[in-house]
Amino acid sequence: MKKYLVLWLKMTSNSFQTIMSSRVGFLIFTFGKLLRFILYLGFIYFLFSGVKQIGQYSKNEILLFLLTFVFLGSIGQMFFREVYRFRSRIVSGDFDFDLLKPVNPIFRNLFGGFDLLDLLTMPLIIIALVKTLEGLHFEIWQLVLYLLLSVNCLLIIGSIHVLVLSFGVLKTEVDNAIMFYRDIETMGRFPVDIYKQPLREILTFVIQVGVMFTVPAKVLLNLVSWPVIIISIVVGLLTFFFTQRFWVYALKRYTSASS
Amino acid sequence: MWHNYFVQKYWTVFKTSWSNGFIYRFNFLLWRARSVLVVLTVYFLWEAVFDSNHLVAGYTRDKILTYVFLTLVLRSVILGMRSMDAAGEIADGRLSNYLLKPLNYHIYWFVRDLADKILNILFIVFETIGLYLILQPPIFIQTNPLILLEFGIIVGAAICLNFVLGNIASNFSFWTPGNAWGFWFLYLVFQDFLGGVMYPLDIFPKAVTKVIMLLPFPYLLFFPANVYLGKVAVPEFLSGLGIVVCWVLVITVLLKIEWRLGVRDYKAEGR
Repeated sequence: MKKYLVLWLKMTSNSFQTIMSSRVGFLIFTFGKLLRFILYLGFIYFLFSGVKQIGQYSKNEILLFLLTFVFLGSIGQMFFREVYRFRSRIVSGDFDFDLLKPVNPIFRNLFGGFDLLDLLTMPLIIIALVKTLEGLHFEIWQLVLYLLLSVNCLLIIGSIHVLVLSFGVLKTEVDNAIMFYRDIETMGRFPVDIYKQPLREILTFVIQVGVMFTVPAKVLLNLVSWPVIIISIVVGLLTFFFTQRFWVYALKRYTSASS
Repeated sequence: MWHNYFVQKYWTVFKTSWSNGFIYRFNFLLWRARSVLVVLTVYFLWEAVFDSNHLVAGYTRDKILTYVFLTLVLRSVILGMRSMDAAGEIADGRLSNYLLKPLNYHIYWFVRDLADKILNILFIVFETIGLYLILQPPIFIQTNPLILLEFGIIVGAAICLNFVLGNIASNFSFWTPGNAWGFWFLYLVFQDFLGGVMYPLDIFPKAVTKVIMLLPFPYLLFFPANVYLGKVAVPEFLSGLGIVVCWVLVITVLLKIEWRLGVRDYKAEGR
């Protein structure tokens, strides 16, 4: 465990140096991320200046869904950014070196590129989320469950990234797969209730966007039953288990053709 | 003689790019699925908004859903482009291969974009039919030949505008190779919020809309969509077209300057 922590710190330090080597790009990305976040919030505020609710939800409730999505999505991008570079490692044959080292190759390719840019925007997101939580009424057990289901969400996000890595090993296709996931993830920006059936059920339990983003927020609003909470956690654990198995399956079929 | 050679050269690029789309079928299908997903998200958001409201910022449910559905088609035709890969080519030194060849790098990407757009259009037909059958949104078929002519012209202008704006963003890779996508990311944010991807821009107060309309971004989707819907009178259309042409000319000049400076500073890093 200590070995992995030291390795992660080293890889993170390298990643910071790479990002900081291009200061203009760093500033532009940070500005873009902040601008997008502010424009999203601005859009919601503007929308609610003309309407009282969207679906069955008030402004604060919609903000809770949006900020839960932004918060958890940003943590996922922050930690798993290296996946976006996996294709070049496969195509160039560099992945072979990962297999030769006494480190789990998933660890190297999942956590190897901590994103400083997402870390910088995180305080603003957390402040907005806390401000929104202050405007809602909930019990402490609901907050504990919210945090537990948020961890469950991060477990699913990590598992999906492992799935993308596995596709990369099998098909050398990563870029569109990860962006496809990001677009599906975006559907969780608002509660999945806004989507019609059967899309709603598919998004909740098959693609799991609902389990990832809507269920945690609904716990705080007391809008979700215990069976759904338990199913959500089981879905998270099963996703983790099966993506690990799929990774092993993909590795067994790795041909190292590019090296 | 020279023009035959010119046409033949880029026609080959067009054919190669077209074939590429069929070779990487999984890639292409994912890209098309992504386009549909973006529209679905916006579509259902607006449907939810109109669940409990009949009129929002002057828009009725039918009007806004027509707009959202129309942007599905326009997004693929106008905003879909492969030339964003140019940023990566500049960043990792692959640009060197093109600099040694007797072709114009920008025309090369423009031709590749055209091939990609035609491929997209073929798929849009099926997607539109499929989504129409599933969602059954209000659909407005424009039959006025003058408006259709205006629409064709403004879509062509918007394609050129998007191309030069995108290339300006890509060329910043000359100076920020470690963060090649930074400017593209910023451009995509502007497209989403000021281009009319998420909402029609006239939902804002008039003064705000007027200021936004001076920027190039509303002419990518919002203005062409309004032209199709017949909401733009001829004088307004001409003034809008004038603004687009001005932006294209100004940005093309900037693009040329940027390219000249960029190639001068280019170090073929990574090669």
